Amino acid sequence: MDGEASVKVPNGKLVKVKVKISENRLEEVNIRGDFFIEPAEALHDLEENIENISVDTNREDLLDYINNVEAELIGFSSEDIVKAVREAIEDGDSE
Amino acid sequence: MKWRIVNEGEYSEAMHHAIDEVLTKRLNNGDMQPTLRFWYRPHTSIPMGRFQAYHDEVQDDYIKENDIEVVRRITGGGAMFSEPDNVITYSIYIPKEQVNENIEKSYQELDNFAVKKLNELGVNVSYKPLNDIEHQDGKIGGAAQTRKENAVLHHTMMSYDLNTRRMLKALRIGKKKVSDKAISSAEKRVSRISDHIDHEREEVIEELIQSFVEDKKWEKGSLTSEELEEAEILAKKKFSTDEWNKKL
Repeated sequence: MDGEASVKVPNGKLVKVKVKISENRLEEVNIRGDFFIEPAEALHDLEENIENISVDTNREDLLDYINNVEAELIGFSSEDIVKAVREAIEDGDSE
Repeated sequence: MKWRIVNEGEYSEAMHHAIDEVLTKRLNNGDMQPTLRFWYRPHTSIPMGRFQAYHDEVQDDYIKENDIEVVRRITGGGAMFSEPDNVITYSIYIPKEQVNENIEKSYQELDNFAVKKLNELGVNVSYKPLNDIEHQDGKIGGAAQTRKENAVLHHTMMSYDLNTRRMLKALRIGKKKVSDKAISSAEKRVSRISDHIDHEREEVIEELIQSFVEDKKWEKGSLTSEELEEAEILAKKKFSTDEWNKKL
């Protein structure tokens, strides 16, 4: 199952998340958009840190997984990523 | 140290991004003086943000039909449309110690010379955080940065006289299908320097340079043959490849 969602940060950037769901786990996560991340390589770590977790992971745990990555998010926040991930999971569920 | 002002050199989109990477690295390593460089391009192109996916941002059919060069930047931010003579683009390679640690402030401060000069010339723009240069009629330009240990790359692109219709055909503007209504509303949000003043593009660039060097020691300069050779290799093996440009 695939799901995707976009979150527009008020006065800020667009965060697009695509997820591949398999056996209730996030098999693959893509985070895309017109935001900034320093260092840039951390995008991969952000995605990897939430791959293979359960689709039922709660908001706080998701936030922890994102915040565990050493990265500066500019123009958006870890909350925006979590919101987009949860909406993408919902989108996948409803297919 | 004196600033080097480079206002010459027409290169492919890929080469410009290779030059940005090479010069930022050299400044970071202490091998280069701070530099302001203006860009000239022979063809229509689209620089897109580092974290954007090719197929999300551009209309692939239109890109292929019109031979538009799409290159993924080393900086974040959004996709921009560029036509020869219709945009003004510059890169600032600046020691990190001279840049405000507050990122939002640093964007405004590094583009302030341009915003100030445009207002003096009669283009009433202001900075809209994080990284947009706005006229009340719409967005005129945008900036993007990346930070190394000792160096910051700050590049900015402004519309001098862009063709908005072609831009909207080439970019997807974050929609799956852009309806006619969406095009007209998006069009309203874009403004161009030439909508407001009669200055030639070259004159505007000269004025921007005068504004930039006002409080600095500086000299006119060129890219060195070493810089260009290194950039040519990088343009070929990175910024011209699908592996980089369509990675996401």
